[in-house]
Amino acid sequence: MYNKLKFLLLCFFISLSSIHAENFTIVKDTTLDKFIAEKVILPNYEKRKVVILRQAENFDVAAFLERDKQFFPSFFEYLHSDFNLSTISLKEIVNKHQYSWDGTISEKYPNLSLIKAPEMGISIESLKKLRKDNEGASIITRVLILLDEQKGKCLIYYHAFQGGGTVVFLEKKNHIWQIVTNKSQFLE
Amino acid sequence: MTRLLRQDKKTCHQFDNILLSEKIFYPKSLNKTPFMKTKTLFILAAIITSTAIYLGCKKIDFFVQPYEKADNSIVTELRNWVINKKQTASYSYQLTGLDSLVLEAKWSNTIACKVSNDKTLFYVPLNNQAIGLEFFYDNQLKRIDSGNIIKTSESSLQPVNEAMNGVRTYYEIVIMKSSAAAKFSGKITSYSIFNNFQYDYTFSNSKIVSRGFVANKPSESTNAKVKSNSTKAIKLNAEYYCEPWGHFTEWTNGMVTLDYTYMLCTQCTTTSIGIKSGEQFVKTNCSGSGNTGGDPGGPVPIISFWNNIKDTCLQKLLEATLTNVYQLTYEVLMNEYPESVYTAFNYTQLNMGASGETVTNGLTYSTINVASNGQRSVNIVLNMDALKSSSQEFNASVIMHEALHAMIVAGGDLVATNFVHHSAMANNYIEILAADLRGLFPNLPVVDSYALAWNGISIDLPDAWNALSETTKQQYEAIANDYWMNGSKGTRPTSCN
Repeated sequence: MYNKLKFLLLCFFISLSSIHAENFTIVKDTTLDKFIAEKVILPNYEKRKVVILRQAENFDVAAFLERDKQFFPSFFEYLHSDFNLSTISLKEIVNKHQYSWDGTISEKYPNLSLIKAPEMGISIESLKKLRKDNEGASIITRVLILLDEQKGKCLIYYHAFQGGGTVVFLEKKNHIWQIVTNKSQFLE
Repeated sequence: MTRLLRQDKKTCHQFDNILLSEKIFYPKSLNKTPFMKTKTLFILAAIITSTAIYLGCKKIDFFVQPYEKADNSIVTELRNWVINKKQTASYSYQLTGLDSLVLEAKWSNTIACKVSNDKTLFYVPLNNQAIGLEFFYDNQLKRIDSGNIIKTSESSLQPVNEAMNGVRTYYEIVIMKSSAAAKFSGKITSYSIFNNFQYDYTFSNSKIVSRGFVANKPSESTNAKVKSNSTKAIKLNAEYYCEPWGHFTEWTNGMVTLDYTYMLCTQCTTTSIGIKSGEQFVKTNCSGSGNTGGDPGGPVPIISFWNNIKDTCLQKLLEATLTNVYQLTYEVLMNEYPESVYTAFNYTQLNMGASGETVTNGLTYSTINVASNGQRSVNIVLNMDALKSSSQEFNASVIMHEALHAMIVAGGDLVATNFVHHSAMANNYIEILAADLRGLFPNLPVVDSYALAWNGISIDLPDAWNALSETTKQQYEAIANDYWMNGSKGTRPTSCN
């Protein structure tokens, strides 16, 4: 009886923490998913295959961005001007605005695959093998999508394995997403 | 009393002598009689008074000398001297520079310091507190001997007086070889009135710590290049030349260290200071007509390379490859991006990890340096974690690969993706890259030079790569891997000396 009570209490606290984590979940925007796939990612790689690694849940995006901030100056300019980085922290922005891509997107686009990255990271050799197994596909290892639904603004950063980093800023005008800038922030 | 002592420094030394003399010491064993007690008290009082006076004297050393304000008549003369220098200007940028100096100078705050019967120094602060104008005035002939732009590194509550202390210390210690009257610790950097770097001196308590100068740096690589067998031969425009220069520091123990190097590739080059920003920069595009003499004319694509690599092996390798890199980028800029403005390629190193999904050998990104007339600065970062255990041949290919990215960025193509860049390289530069690598490493087999040239480009599967046979592609990938981290081929950094 006592053990059952302990188990129930544990479940209660776990559910409480998950509710807290989901506090900032953004409503799915299928038009945005479609726009990112068709207008942002795929055109950058012509007709080649693209494999996107879904980051492990414990990956600290904010820390990653802070570490390499010098390489994507315009990303931080947008964070300041459109996501109020000067008033709130980067971690807060990520918690509040991070947008998850629809996991079923790869079913609609044959050239696009979503694969979950292993928790313990991934080696160069395994990435090379992954590329080879997918007909020389580009492997996108880091993606961050920040969405402000009210203002209709979306900031995307992605990095391909040995393929440089790109920053894309989108705005929604008359219910239609548009690319404002699409810049290679660094080249490898 | 203290004021009196400050006015007469000799008195200070007398009190110093009292304090240090035997007179103030009295054996404890004799301190027994009333007379002795009175004398002891007197001595104690003398010690306390002497200490106070001694400290007062010592304070003189740190006292910032208040300098006199210069007469209006002489200020007008100084101002006219700068304006008249326009008659000897050769380029329009020099005219513009002199106009800026006249406007930025706070003439009414000019101070004077008579250092001898023959000479008076004047200092005119500019709006940027770190910069000013110094003038050396001949009191007998009543004329200005020379004038320069001065930057003082020392931050102070009284920057104008502090700057004059620096100017005065330079004059007394360096020019006159005498002792310094003012105490100065800090760095002064001198530029001619036309804003050309002349020297810098660092002082500590008015003693020279180091002297900085800019000089031609002989390149070890100039003889290493062999002719490219490429059909796209590279020729330098005869009007321009390209040579490595360096900023050196000569220390008081006689040692000379090289602080940084850069490749200057033009007839008209100056190391100058931004009058408003206070930042030093290298100016290489001197377009625009002057009153005397001609100028290169028109927008000219000019590049300078900054070697800010700290690792000795990689630094040497970069120096050796710069001539090739310059020739490669110069032709491309001339032919494909003729409207380019002056561009600086800045090579730096970082530790970015050598494993995991974000591993990179080198990357290129650009920034616009507003302080230097909007010039574009392209930054090339080399990953030491990956390159420290890679071969020299591989590292040279990375240096040149990133320079090609930088060149395309410098040409104004900021939007292009990695794929677009690599496709352009695959179509136009594989032959040149391979030939340049063979030039740098005469023993490098031809097939290996192609494998290294393709390295980093093949990743994006450009059409030219796809057109190669599967066997060739596999061979190139395997060879490039052998030259990479802990591989079995090539010259390893341990033998780079």
